[in-house]
Amino acid sequence: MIGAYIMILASPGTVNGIVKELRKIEQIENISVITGEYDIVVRVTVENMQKLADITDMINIVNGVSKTHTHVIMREQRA
Amino acid sequence: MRKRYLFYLLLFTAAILDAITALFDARMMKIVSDPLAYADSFFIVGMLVCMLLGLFFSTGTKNRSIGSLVDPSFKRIRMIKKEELLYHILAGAGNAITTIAFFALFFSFTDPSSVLPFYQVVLLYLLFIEAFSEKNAPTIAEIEASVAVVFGAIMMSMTEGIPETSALIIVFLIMNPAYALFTLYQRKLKSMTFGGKSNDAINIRFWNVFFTMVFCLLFSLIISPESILLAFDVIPQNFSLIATATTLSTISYILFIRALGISSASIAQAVKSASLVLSLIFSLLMGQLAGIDSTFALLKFMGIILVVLGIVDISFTEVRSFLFIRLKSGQDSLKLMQKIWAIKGIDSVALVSGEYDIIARIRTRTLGKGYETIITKINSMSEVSTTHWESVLKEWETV
Repeated sequence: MIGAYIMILASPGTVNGIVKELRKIEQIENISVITGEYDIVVRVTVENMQKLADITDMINIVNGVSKTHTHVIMREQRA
Repeated sequence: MRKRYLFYLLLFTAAILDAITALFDARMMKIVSDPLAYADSFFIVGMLVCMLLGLFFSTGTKNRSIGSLVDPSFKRIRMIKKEELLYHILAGAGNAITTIAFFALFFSFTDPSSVLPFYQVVLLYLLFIEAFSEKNAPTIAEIEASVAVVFGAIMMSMTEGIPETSALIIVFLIMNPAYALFTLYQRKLKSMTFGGKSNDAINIRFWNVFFTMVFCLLFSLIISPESILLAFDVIPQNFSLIATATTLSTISYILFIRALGISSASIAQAVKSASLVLSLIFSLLMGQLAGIDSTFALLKFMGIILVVLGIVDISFTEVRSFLFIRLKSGQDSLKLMQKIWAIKGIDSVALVSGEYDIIARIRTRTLGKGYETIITKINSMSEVSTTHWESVLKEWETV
């Protein structure tokens, strides 16, 4: 399995609408609306890189998403 | 559903079920008047109820059982695994001792809303144990809120004056240390994973009832064998009453164990103490508190305020954040990842490719505390080039 953090930059006033759409995507484990440079960070777990590319594409076509930045997880420790 | 909402939904439902179960316990103790015999009958019937519930939860389609609606990790009732055995034995012993002690308290207090609060003293024990054993040790704010809940609970238990010394010994030296043992080992079991899936609450409860029954019968055999005979006398006459109490208690514990997988034992226990307020309302409605002295009524009222304040404090003071870290070139990123992971308050740390090198998720009670304990530590690490802190405003998580 491959994990990744995808950071999303949203157009003004579109965050709630984007979150609503993101919640429909099964592979998204966590959605965080954050302050700062980006507006939303999502954590995804997928089977392979192709699936990750598909998810990124799905996010990019959501109305209001102006930019995404994907960080693939190479190693991780979780509580 | 947002993870936070699910956590409170589980615990508030468990609290309602607990408050109702206490009413049944009080009624049964009037009939049986032998704590060992009632504990035996409770868990013998409880085992039967668990088997039926287990069968019900195991039905469904090949990929999705009914039980998976309660805990997505559940597939069907299964045999116990070797690595779980010791924890189940310890949790079963803890539950048997705490239940017998809890029933024994009904001799001193007939009103359930006066007995139930004594369970909350366990918070002090849990906080003490977690301070040494958990990665995310309780913060000052959590300790403050939990202490408010404990003292509020003790004030709520006062109906007729200061409890007798024997009752206090049962509460502080027997019931709550055993309950702490029971809660912590259940959490340990919930955090175990098998084949990439976390352990499920339904199997944990099923096996807990089994081991608790074994220990109750064992204690009865050693202390007073006639209690077992009395239990078998009591069951046929009061089967529906005991079965209702055990069903409610089993569902309450399944929800509680599921919540234990989301947060620490002390926080889950503090939120579950909402059962005290409900229990008091039930006692009032049933006339158990008719004619109570005005001083004790005032104490109970103050106790409610403290318990509610404690729960509100714990529920609304958590701050979650992300920390994005860039490293200086040529540094050992794996070693740094381990150093960051060792810091208290770090929920997860990931080594990533892309704009940043490490992404850490943080859980603190205040931003100031996060700054003091986390950012200053990370910034002082020689391998770190820059850090970027972003606070989470809202969060949704699949649980």
